[in-house]
Amino acid sequence: MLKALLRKQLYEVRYFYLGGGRKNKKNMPKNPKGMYVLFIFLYLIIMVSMFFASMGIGSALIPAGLDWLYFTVMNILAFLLGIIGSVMSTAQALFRSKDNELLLAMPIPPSRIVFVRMITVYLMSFIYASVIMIPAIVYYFIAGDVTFLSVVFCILSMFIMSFLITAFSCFAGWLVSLIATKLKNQKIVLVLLGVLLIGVIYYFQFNASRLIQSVIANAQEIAGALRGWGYPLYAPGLGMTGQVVGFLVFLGITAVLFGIAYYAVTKSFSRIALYKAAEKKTEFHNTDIRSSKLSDALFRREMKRFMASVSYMMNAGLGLLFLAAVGVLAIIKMQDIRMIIASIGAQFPYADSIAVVVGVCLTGLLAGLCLMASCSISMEGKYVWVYQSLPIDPYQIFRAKLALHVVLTGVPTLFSILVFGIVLKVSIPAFLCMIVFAGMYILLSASFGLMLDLKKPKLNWTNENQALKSNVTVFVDMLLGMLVPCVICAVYLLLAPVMGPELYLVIWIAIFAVLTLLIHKWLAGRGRAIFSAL
Amino acid sequence: MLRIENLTKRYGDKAAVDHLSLHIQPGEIYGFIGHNGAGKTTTLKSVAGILPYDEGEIYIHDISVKLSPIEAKKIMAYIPDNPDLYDFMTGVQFLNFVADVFGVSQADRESRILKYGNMFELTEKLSDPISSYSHGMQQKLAVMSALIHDPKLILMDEPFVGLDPMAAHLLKQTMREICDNGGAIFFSTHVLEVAEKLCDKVAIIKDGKLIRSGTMEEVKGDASLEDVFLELEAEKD
Repeated sequence: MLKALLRKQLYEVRYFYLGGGRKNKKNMPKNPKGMYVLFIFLYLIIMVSMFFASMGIGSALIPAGLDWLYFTVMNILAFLLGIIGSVMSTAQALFRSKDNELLLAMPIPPSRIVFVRMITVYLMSFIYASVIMIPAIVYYFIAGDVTFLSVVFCILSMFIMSFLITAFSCFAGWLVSLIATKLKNQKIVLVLLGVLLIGVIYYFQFNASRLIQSVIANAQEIAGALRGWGYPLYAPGLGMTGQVVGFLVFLGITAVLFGIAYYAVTKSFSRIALYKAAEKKTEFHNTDIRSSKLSDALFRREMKRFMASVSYMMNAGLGLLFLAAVGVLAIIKMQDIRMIIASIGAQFPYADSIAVVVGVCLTGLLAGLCLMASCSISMEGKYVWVYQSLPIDPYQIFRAKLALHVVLTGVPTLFSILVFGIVLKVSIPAFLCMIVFAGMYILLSASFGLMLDLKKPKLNWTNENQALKSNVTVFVDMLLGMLVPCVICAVYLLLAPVMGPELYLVIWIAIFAVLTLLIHKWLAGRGRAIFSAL
Repeated sequence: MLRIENLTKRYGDKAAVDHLSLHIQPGEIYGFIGHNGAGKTTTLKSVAGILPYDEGEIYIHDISVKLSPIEAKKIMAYIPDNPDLYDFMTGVQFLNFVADVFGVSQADRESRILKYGNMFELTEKLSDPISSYSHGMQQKLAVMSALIHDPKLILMDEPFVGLDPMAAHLLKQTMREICDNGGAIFFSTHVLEVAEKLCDKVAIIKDGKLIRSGTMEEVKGDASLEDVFLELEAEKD
């Protein structure tokens, strides 16, 4: 039975990534190998950068005999990244699959269903954890005092760490889902819980480099303090240096926590998976029948689709939170920012100009995290027939999807730029350039994301995560959306002596405009045809 | 009203619909019957402009579905066999959305929503989320949304599945009424008794090929439609 369930899960993954088999060529990506190559390439790039990060930490700790502390720091980083990567989607993966009723109607114990779904979460956790742990281990093998046991335990610890992440993610997903069944305003509560969780995680993430520096600077004191009370925390680190007891403690703790999470999820699986909130009954009035313009109707429909799904909001709209937060943070830290720029300005004459470009690129980078458009076609899923059967030009549908993205992203972006304008005391022409630059960038990244999603849509998902998270287009769009502002910023560091920020931004506005026009030409031609044939 | 000329749709090497030709006149209820996988849904989806086809042409009121899909869709409506409606909307929000797309005036949409809402006993539930609707209620809402712009041609894929006997009876009456007012209906069904009683004309499709079509009398003669259908199925095997 377990084999059958695992096979079904594999079929699902295969269908999702490779299409419906030989007979269903329509759903078969034209070049699946290309997707894998791209994924592996990006994965390797991140690994290389993590190797250098490991080198920075390890070169301070390993020669001092604190290799166990080195592993403790790297393990904490891997754990945090794993949690960030998987916790938001775990509830969806565990409880909100479309085949819940089908599976529960069969003589399959819920524990088996849970087990198989936890394996999916485990794989995701492993991908995130390994991106930090593999480079960390490789660096240790180069610089550390390697023994046979340390090699074996290091490799095994990577798999155990993924179990630990899975346990925490599943427990968090279970808790959130359980709370949601007890509450009336589920969506609001889930979003708030998600925001809270993200806030906590990012608090640690933003302070990570400061904490690491502090660990490096005070390594001996921290090591002494940890030895006193934090054995469970550094036991994994000890284990990875080859210490048997530390490794066994790590293994034991993980097994117990995984067992607790598995038990908790299994115990309430049926109740949560089949839970349906009582719908609010509203009396119908003739005044509910209202006509509006087609463009308004389409925009409203897109907005409703976005607001209807917590996963959609949390995964695709996370950048909106950051955009608003960075604006608020800039207000709070206004004096500090001005002081930093003034002190840099004393040594470097173009600090003010660079600050303008950095400010607008920072908003661009965060806007790149807004992914509403790049999964909007995939999120149509089973509803796609409605649009296709109605007399609507697909290009109008694209415009509605882009409008939703631009409006939602535009408001917090405008707020942030307004704040930056005030904080940096930007001239009016530069301020206008910042606004137009950000607006054009948002439109370009939205259009590009939509084009990618049209080229490789994922309509046959069994849970929304597949369209939102396991979607290469979303990943590529996010990566490019963040990379491009960084490149623009870096280039200006070289050009600042010869070019004012206004001219520089105007040049980029022109480039964005041309690229946007080209993408829209594609959307209006080939894109239309692709959507009609989905 | 509807002219299908040599329609061919292939999935890979297999022809799901193979050089199918069919003409439907205004005022006709045209039944489309065939075994599972015979090509009924593929044909209906091609006519609805959802599925691109490989060969042939489809005209609705002389408008080519291939060349002017938007214009063709403006005068027809399509109801799939298992309509996945927007369950993130309420019933009335969905109807408003469809009416907005077709540009239905406020007065017309009001009268049609109330008329069909009362007929299908759905008016009271129109402000509830579609996610709370049963399968039958969703089917009724799909029918209402199809009728809201007073289409000239309605395509229905298994329209009676999930409907209670009263709703099925009312739908049959409505179908007749639409056709009596000059509209046309092209629908697929497995319920041969319904087809026999309701349809003016019927077409039988097997393995993508039209094997018989015409008025009910022409197709079945003195026998029952079921007998003819089973006989044709056996013959070709």
